[in-house]
Amino acid sequence: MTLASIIACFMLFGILDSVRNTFLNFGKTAAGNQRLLVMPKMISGARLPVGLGLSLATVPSVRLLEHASVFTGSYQDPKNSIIIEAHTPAFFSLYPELAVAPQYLTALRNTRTGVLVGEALAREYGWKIGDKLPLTSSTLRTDGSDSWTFDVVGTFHFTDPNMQQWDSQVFINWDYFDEARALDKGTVSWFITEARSAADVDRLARALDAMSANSDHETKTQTENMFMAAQLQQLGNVGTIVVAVVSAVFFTLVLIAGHTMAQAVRERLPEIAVLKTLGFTGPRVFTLLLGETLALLVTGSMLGLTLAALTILTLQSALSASVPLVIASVGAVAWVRGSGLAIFIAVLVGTIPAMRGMRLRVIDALAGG
Amino acid sequence: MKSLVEIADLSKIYQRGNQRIEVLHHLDFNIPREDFVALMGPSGSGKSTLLNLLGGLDKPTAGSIEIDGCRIDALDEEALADWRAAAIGFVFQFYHLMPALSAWRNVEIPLLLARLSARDRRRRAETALKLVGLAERSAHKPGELSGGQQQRVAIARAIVSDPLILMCDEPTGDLDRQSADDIMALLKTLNRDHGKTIVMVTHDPRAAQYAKRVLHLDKGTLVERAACPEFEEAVQ
Repeated sequence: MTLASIIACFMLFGILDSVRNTFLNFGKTAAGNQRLLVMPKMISGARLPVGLGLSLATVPSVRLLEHASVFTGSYQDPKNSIIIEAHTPAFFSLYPELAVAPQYLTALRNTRTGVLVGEALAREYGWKIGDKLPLTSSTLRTDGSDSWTFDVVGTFHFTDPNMQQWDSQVFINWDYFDEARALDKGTVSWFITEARSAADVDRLARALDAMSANSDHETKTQTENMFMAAQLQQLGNVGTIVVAVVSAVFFTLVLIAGHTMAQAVRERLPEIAVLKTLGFTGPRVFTLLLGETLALLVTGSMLGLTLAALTILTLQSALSASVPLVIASVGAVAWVRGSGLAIFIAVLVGTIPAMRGMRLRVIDALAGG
Repeated sequence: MKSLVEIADLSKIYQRGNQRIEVLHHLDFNIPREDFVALMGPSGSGKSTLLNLLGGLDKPTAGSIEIDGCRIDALDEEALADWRAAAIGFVFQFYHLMPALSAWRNVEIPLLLARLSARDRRRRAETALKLVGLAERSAHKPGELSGGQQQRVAIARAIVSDPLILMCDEPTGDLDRQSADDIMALLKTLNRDHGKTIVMVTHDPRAAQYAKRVLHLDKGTLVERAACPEFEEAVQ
């Protein structure tokens, strides 16, 4: 029963740690600390005039600047929702984590209706290069139609595991999109540029925002990683929630394991007395009893974390198609943390019973037995 | 020739609050090698206290206990534990076997303190079980054995490390007559054929008949030193 409780606790720990890591690292990359997103300051989802890019490009040290628009469509069924991002060619230079063959990029540049599809999406729907890709969207075309048809010219994937959730979207040409859409022409969802170094981020962000200060389209510039963190923050402080839940779980475990070990020693006082009678010294008895607690906790923690790893693997494959989020695996850090936690709890709950065994007076215990 | 056990002016006093209980009063006696001594006496006479002192489980208030040249009353707890492991085999009334372990694993326990390989430990445990007639039950757990068989396992555990003395505390107290006779016959064999010195506390006069000598304790005093002339007859 106690072992089952320990397994359950560490399984929960493994799963929640994965969830925490998923949210903590969602979209975060090394380059994301220097990549800057210039977005509308006041209203989320508002648009910026594409002409603002001309001003932004004049800011010293801006080397590359791209603008993008995003909208959603669906494939065959409204349930098959797909994120469509319209980009300029500079986008592909700003994202070294984006693995796309040069010939696909050339094909996209040369095909106005071209689309690069994420490999995960292509696998799911069986799309191949040369296919026509019909999508339906609430973003209407100039002819009033909600049907958008693209030509699949290539595939891509992100090499950074934290960006793999974006393998389930598609990229199209911004020029074509802006020309074809009925509304909001000449606007973009955001601009993207990059700082030369992490130290230059704050200065550049201030300089970029200064270009639209006191206008009707003021901007807020932040790094891509900060933007991702802020997005997730809207869901609540997942890290704190997870820590709170895990703390409550382990507090309960300490009570259960502590009670069990105390009872186990109490019930086996005659056996411990026999060991001491046979020549086991007090320190040796202490080591045996603490070792027993350690073995119980470490075995339980390893089994629990193994179950957590298997659960996460199952969830990863089950949710890959429906959730734009790659759940982090139970990594080495979780195993090390779990082992450390198991040892800590074992020492916490095992020391006092082990000391009781160590100090046991043989004749008193045997008289009771 | 020097005796194996030499007791001089041995006293044991327990302090219960303000009450001073003198359990053993100035005992003097010796136990030669290969002796088989039965300690008898009414409840509270100090038999078990004396056995605990001889076995190094407790310390005297006064006097000395010298066993095979070692003053055990002067040893500290840790040294006493090491000495017990090397010199004493204990047999208890209620066997005190580990219920989760098989017979041979129980017998192996004292050997865990010796520098022996797992194979040697197993071999010695099997030999001890064979000596007590339980070779074929070595894989059984205590719960699968009768009381008499469990006591045989306990005796195998007591002799497996070849101790100087076996200390037996009411070894037949929890057994039926037939099993008790079997256990006493086994102890007699260990004493007679294998030269084991045995000190046994018992209430049972029939069990005491197997001993070479009977020491009677009453109110902490050794009041009688009786030989057991019927010994040979009784155990034939």
